[in-house]
Amino acid sequence: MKNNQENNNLDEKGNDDLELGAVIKNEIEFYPKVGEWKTEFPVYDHDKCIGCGICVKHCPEGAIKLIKTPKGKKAVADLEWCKGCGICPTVCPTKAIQMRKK
Amino acid sequence: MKNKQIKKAITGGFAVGEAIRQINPDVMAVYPITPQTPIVEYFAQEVADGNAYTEIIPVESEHSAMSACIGSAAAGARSMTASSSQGIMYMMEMLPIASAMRLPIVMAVSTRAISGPLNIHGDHSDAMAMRDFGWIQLFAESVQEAYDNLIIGTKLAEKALLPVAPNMDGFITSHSVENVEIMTDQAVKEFVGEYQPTQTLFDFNEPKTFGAIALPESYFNFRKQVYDAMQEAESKFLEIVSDFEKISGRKYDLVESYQLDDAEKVIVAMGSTCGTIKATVDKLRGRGQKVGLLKIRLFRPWPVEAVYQALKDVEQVFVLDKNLSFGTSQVLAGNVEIALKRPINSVVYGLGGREISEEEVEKIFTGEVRSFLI
Ligand code: SF4
Ligand code: SF4
Repeated sequence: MKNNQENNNLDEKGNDDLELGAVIKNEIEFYPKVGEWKTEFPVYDHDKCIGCGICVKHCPEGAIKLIKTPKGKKAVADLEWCKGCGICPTVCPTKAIQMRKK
Repeated sequence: MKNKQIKKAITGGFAVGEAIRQINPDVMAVYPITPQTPIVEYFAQEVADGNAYTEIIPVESEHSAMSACIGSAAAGARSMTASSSQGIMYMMEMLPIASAMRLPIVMAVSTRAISGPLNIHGDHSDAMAMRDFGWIQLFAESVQEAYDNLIIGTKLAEKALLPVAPNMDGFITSHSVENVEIMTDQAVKEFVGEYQPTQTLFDFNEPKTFGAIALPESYFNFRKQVYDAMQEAESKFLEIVSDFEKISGRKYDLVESYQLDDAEKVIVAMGSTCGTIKATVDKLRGRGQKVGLLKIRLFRPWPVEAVYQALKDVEQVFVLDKNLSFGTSQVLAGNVEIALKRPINSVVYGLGGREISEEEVEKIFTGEVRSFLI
């Protein structure tokens, strides 16, 4: 039996392969893309971004990564996974991120 | 083979700290609270002196201490903390999470009264408050047992995949100097062994989510999983104490029977008071009275069969609780009644560190004390 969205129907027999401590073995394709939740999304101004990576560490969804560009490392968010929480603009030291209504 | 041991005169707090140093856990989350403080005080000094390589996390509260333990244990680190009283009350939210996540965290407890009124002295109120949260609970009568229980408890936690709280009586045991036999570092390390986590956050090939939601379809099953693990912990405890006897020469069981063979009147108790009761039993036996003591070592899981077997032929059973439940029967008394399926005499004593003397124990045996030794 699995503690995930795909398989939540339990019966007596299901207890034998109950996951230890309700740990979910991540099968990422089964998870709803939290990107659908957002009402706002972040826009990155690559002229201001200095590639410090602070936003990467703070994003609760792990949606941001640094990519190499001719102007150095720049942050980009994967909007399929960005849930629009608005944390990244508050931690960016150069105010390179702004939230926009969807 | 019994290993070489060193005799030392130390307090319960230092003995438990020494056991932790010998185990050398990966992480120790620390927050001071009386009467637990000597454990961490001793241990932190040992780490500062380079005698243990533990990562000490000086957290900002007990809630964070338990949270840090949960995080580090989920990451696969052998994790410990120590606490008492209000500290345990403050981390209460995290305690059942630790057990439901099946994390073998060890929390050394110096038991203490809970507020209010504010009181820093020893009773079992804090330990009793966490009794139904899936934590294995051991009680120690002496400094020696406090030291041994920490080592046994660490191994038990990892075998049962449940958190363990080895309890000693605040001040009476935690701050009193007694003679203790300390095993060699090597013997302790070999006994507990290298920690092998069953599943970890750092398994990048098989990423996992720890502490996720479980809806009505599965929540019940996961709670039942903890219940089953608790039931199985009793036999695991017995295996471990038999291995422990081989290296230490000290024999432990779920309960300890003292002068029970032909006893007509028996007191059931936990913790340091058992010493006072043993002395009283000796005195009364000298006068030809058939009295005895049943000491509970493993309190959770409750060793229902062992308690029944020890007490089934005893005429009068007196159960001593160092905790007061309001509006119902007392915890230990209720548990003994479940085992015996007949009424017993329940006595509450020692709240907020109130002392109990041999004379008073005698009065319990004669039935002069009813309900409250106040
Ligand atoms: S808004 Fe929140 S979820 Fe989206 S990229 Fe920023 S931090 Fe991540
Ligand atoms: S925090 Fe701001 S400056 Fe730093 S990488 Fe992210 S967007 Fe760029």
